[in-house]
Amino acid sequence: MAEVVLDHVYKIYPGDVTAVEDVSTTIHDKEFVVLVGPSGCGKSTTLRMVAGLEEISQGTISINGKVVNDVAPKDRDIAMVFQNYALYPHMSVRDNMAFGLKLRKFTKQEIDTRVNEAAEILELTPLLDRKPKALSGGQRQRVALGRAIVRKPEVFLFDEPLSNLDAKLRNQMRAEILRLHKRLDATIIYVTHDQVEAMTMGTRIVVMKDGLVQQIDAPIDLYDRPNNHFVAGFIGSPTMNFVTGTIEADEFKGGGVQFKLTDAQKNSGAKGEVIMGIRPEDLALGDPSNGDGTVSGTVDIAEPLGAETYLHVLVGAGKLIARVEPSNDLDTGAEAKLHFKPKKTHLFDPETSQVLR
Amino acid sequence: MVKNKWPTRILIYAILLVFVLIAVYPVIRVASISLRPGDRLLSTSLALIPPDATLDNFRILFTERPFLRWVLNSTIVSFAVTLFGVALASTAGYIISRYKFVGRTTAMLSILTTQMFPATMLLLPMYIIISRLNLINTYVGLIVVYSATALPFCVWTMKGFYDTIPSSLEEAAMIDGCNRFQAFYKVVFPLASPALVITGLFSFISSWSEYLVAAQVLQDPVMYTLPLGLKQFQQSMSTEWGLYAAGALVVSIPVIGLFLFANRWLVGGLTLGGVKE
Repeated sequence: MAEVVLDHVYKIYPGDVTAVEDVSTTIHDKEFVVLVGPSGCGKSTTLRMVAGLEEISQGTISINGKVVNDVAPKDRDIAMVFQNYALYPHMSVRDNMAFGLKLRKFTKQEIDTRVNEAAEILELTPLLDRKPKALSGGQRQRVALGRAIVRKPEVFLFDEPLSNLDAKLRNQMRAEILRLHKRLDATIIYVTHDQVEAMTMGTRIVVMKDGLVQQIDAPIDLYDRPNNHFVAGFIGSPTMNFVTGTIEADEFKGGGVQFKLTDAQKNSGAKGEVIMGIRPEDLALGDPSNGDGTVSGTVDIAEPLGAETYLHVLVGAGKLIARVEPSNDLDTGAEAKLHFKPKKTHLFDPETSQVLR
Repeated sequence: MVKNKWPTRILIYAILLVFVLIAVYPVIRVASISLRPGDRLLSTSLALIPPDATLDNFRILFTERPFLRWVLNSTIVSFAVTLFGVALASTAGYIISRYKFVGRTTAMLSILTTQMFPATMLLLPMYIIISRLNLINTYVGLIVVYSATALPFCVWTMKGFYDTIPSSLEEAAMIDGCNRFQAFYKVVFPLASPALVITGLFSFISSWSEYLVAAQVLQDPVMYTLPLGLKQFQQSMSTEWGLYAAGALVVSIPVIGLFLFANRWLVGGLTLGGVKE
């Protein structure tokens, strides 16, 4: 079925600006792949090259085994949902959805069936005769979804489809898109800058930065085993804590943090100056058990969220965030003693920012 | 909106009324003159409709003078110019708005620069070109000159309007199954209707009421457009003011009609709602 292969794909703009550099990956049939990264990382450009809206400077993209570098967007059997919806303002909801089918010369009966079906799924039936301007943001985005699904394409492309919606609607639509993915059994490539969207939606995530792929993995692997300093910091909220220190005699020391390296870390060849990373939820209050790493500092602020509290702790020259139980009475200025399991730490080479393991 | 108290409103209406009177008075004068028998331009009577009002001037205009022929000439020329103006400006403006190509900025600036020269300055070179092309006394000659003078404004208007239409609409259309040209005429073109109407009206009116160029290009009275024709009523010894006024009224009717007709497309905000700004 629909498999999308990117093979050493480059996008180089005039003036030698490289927007996308050597991206290679295979998106399998029925997979939900999320391209994520900060703005300007090349994720949208990559998607637009798959769509055929940008020329491919080097490398090949193939859909279903067929190289599509020189195939027009309309002949690639893809559908795309845009960030700004891109609905045709002069057409009704029905005509917006039917537009692609009419151009493809479907029978009127087939068009009606498909449009009505999609409207049913997306709860747009009462709105079919309205113009886009008479719809709310969420409804417009559903119409854009409808326009994509009536086509029954091989591949769906989503370009930050939820970033114009408010938080509540975004959660709702996120679930809706996931349901659609299950229902349609389609291959989806989804671009977002929001790592929460990436984590919750993707079966696999491609993290990009400055046009380069940083890591391609399943969400949980990305979270637990980041390849480098950037991925570690980008995925997760609050972000991972980083402390620079040195390793001497198999022990890390720096910024008020110290712990004995695990066997795996010893074997990784980590020595001299390194960056240590630890996730907020891996820091705990209370008495350390044997072999735990420790860190102590003063509380800067405490953010109680109800179910948990984010403790901002000043240590050495920097600050750590710990995600702790809500029932603690630590407040600004108090002394905080934190401990953690050494195996939960990540070590990064400060020069290459690659992980040491 | 804040509701004004009635004294303020009366004042506003009074001021507006003064301006309306200033604008409308000449038209009323012309209408009044057209109804007077003979050539009584300088009557001291203040009556809007003279006591001996007659439609004779209109009858003479249509039956005893080649007025209808002039109407035909003007119509042919104006419609051709409008058609050219809209067709060329809508496509040229689109290319300039959407594509980056070598010489794009230069092209845009040179289009703009042509607008700096007053029309009278261009009369002589234009006359020489038209006469060398053997286009004196032809519709084509007039159409070429009018289109050339109207196009710069039209191209810029269209370009400016296209710039406000997000390109994601065409991209969506192209993914939906359009080629580039279909995306243009099925999606962008209908959305550009306010700008199309403006360029159309501009082209039409500028050629419908143009006198100076027409006076150079057209020398045979059979080919005269309306402004030239009307001028014929004004001769060295006497001027047929009644006919002149009647003609002037008739000439302005299509323009007014066109404006009323085009009004509904001039309302902006047609692109509202298609994309999130």
